[in-house]
Amino acid sequence: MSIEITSLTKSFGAFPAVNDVSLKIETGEMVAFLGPSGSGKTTLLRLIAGLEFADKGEIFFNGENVTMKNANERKAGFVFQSYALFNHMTIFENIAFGLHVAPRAKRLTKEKIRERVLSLLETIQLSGLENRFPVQLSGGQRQRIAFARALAVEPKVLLLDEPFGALDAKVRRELRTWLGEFHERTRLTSLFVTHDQEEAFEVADRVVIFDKGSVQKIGTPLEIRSGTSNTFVRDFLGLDI
Amino acid sequence: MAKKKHVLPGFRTSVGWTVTWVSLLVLLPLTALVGKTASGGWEHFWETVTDPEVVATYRVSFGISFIAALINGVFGFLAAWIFARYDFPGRRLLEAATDLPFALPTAVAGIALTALYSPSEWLGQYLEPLGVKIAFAPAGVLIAMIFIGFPFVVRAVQPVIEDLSADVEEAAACLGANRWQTIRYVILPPLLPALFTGIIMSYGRAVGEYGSIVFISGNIPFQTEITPLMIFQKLEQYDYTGAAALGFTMLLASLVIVLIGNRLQTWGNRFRKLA
Repeated sequence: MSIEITSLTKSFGAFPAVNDVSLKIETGEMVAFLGPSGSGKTTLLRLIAGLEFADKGEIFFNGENVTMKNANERKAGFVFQSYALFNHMTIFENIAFGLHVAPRAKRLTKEKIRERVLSLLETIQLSGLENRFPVQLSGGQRQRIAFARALAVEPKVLLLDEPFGALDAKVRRELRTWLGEFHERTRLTSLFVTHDQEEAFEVADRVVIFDKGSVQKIGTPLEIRSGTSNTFVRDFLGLDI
Repeated sequence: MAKKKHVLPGFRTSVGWTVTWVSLLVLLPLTALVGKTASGGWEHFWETVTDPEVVATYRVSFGISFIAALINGVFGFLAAWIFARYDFPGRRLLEAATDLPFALPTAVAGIALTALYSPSEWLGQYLEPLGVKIAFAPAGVLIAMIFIGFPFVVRAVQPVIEDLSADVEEAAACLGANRWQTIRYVILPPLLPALFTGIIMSYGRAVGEYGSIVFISGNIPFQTEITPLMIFQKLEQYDYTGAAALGFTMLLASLVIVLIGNRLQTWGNRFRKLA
């Protein structure tokens, strides 16, 4: 699914978190939002998901204006840094949640739900854990469950907010590689927020660099690294060192 | 044998103090109560606790308290939700007012309620012609029990609601859940243990309540008399073993309530225990 954003602005009080941002993301792309904390990248992701509403500007999914739609109508697959798993539900119930709450007319049968959950567990290589509770799993396992839960409803876009931020270096690297492979295979339009440039440059097709709520630079990893005159970008990436 | 090492210092001392303190404060008086009950003999005990007038008070003290606790469960939860989630002018004042039944001498509450609902007073004068009898009727007992139990539910539930992180609700929304489904499946289940605790505490308080009820209930035998009042009457008649017998009965009942409450809490917490 393509996403188009036109002059999007969002302020919290007097603080402009996202300031007049326009962006077009093509179907099947994996785009990284890179920038220091407070640069507006997470707010922009939340605006796209419908978890925040813009003061100005519009958002289009495949040409359809979704600016005023709620998060549960936009159904973007969202993965949180904190996993945000439902701790009182088993792993199975967590992954099946989106399928269970679907409108009756569109809801899958119990068998179909079971089939899909088990196959997702296989995809994330955690088969056999369906009856555990989230507190019994490690951070890396929990984040993979969160992926599976987001994927279960077959979203048209995957939004990842610092998905590996809470994990240790080794697991981070493993999951990053896994995500890259997953994207290669499915070509699901994906946006992910990170402050780790290595992560951004390794996984993403294109990188958007943010500072103070505005886009500083957009391009493929190669384009960005091979030279820019923007002083913030040069400084942030350490190109002059 | 080597002395067992503990990470925290003063383990033995603090355990010793705790055991002594709990024994002196709780176990000793309870033992005295059991001893006093036993000294009256089995026949006297049975006669006292199965006296028809006394049995009628069980229905009031345990039955009406239960209804009051359930009502508090519903409205206490709502109040806790609103205090935790919304900010509005006067919220702090309202929150403070919620705690009043904790601090207020129960007799004051009793007088206040009686002054409101007696047939010749404020609200009572309008309700009486409509055939609604509150003061000197079971409804009055119910209102007093709701009044004193309400803050227990609010105070038990509110901190847990405040601790809920917003991200699970957002995750539910992104998965297509509407607001009602989010509340039903995501927000409510983790709150249940706290809600049970609040309801049980409010129930326990209402079962043992005396001061705020005796004024408004009118103490009509077989209708609005409560068990603690029976104990008081026995004491006035110098029937100490009879009073102890009723006390012992209430103690047993309270124990059962506390145990049920604990079980409910364990059940509500089952997903945490596995870690």
